Amino acid sequence: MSSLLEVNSLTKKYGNLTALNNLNFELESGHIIGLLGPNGSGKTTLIKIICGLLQPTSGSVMVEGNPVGVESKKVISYLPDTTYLGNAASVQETIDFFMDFYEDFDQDRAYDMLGKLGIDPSAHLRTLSKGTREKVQLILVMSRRADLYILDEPIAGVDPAARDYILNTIITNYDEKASILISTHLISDVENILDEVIFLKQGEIVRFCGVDEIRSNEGKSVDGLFREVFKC
Amino acid sequence: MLGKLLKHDIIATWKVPVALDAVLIVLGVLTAFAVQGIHSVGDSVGMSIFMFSFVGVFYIGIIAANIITLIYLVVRYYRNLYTSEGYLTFTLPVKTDMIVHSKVITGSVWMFLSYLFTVVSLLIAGAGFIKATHVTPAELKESFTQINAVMGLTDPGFIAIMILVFLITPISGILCMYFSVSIGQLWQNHKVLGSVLCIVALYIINQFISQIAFIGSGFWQMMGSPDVDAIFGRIYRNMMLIISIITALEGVAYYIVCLVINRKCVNLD
Repeated sequence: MSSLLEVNSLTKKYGNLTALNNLNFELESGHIIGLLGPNGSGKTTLIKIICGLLQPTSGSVMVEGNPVGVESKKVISYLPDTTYLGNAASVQETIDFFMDFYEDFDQDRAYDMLGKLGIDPSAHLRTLSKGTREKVQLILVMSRRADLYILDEPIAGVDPAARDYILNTIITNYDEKASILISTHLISDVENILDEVIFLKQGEIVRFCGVDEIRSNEGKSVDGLFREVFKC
Repeated sequence: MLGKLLKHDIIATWKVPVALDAVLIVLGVLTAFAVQGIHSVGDSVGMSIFMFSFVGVFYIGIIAANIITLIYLVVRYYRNLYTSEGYLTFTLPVKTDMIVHSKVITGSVWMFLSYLFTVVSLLIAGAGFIKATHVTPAELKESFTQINAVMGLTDPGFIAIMILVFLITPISGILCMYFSVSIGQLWQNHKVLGSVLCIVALYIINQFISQIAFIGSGFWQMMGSPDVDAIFGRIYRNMMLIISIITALEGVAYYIVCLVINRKCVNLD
């Protein structure tokens, strides 16, 4: 059986700048993986290539044995680091949109989460605060029963209470057979939910291992190791 | 999936083009009343100036309505595909070609309707003018016969060419703008500037092509001809046919380039 995600010899260059340099790794199902690295390390570039938003300079990405395309997009639920919802629609219309395009979208789960947060489904997105729009976006992404959730900086720029809500939403709404790839540089906030980590530095993987391995072999927390590896 | 994309594109875009089409009709009706007013106020200079100004507003209004519709659709294409909204658009489990097809079909439909309502608006205003000037049906028929003799308005060939122009122009127009926006995305920086420069370049190229069509249609033959009326219709028809063929070919080229760029070169930084 093929891996959930296979990245082979992946390189991305912007002119003379190499954003990703010959990355090779595989992800299996049923894990929460932290994609960790400082700003500019290539986390978002890698995610965008996996999601089909950027074209690699060379190398390939396979998702459940399929190249990036319609089939891979069916099984990936992607949360970008910015709001991607248009302002003109209402929350309900946006849910209808997701229902139409994603066979795995669970409408009941979405309305349930909206209800718990007290978000009116008939409200227009433009009337919602930035934070509430981000929560709506997270709800939409986590209401899919996807095989791979890719969350790019889901807790950046939000207050600690919102961080707790977001992390709780993530861990309580994903199927345990699925995997979650979380990109962040706020290690201490996500450390407790991670199974594995990928350390990305200047476009190269400098570490890919289990969290328990770090704790037992190195005697450090992921945050501690991160600070050591990325010490300025 | 194309049906779903079309459904959501139409739901998201219908308000502005439909409102502008309604404005076109209202302008046509108001102008029809205004031109009747010009004749009823007689020698009142102030009122005449007001009424003539209204006719001016009508012409500016119909041009503005078409331009606003076009800009609205182009901005939506840009936002939907190449800004943060593109993160959703390009991660939908649909083929990229379908996304482009949906944008082109939706844009073409709204532009076509905009052209159609412009014609209806002009007809309404024209009907008001005919009524105001008390032109009799016999005089109207006589005028039509005279124009027909020169232009061949009832000739099936002429009608076919005009239908072709009417269908091709809005589609090629929107494709030209989509093409420019997509070309702009190939720039590493200054993507909007790249799009604008592309539009300017295409405008210059199209002016050049129009001149070729002008010459190719035999327009200059008229200059030395003793009987311009005899050849004007034929030359005009040739010119419209050449322009419509070139416009159609351009449209196909714009479409193919849009598909290729969105399929192969999308880089949402």
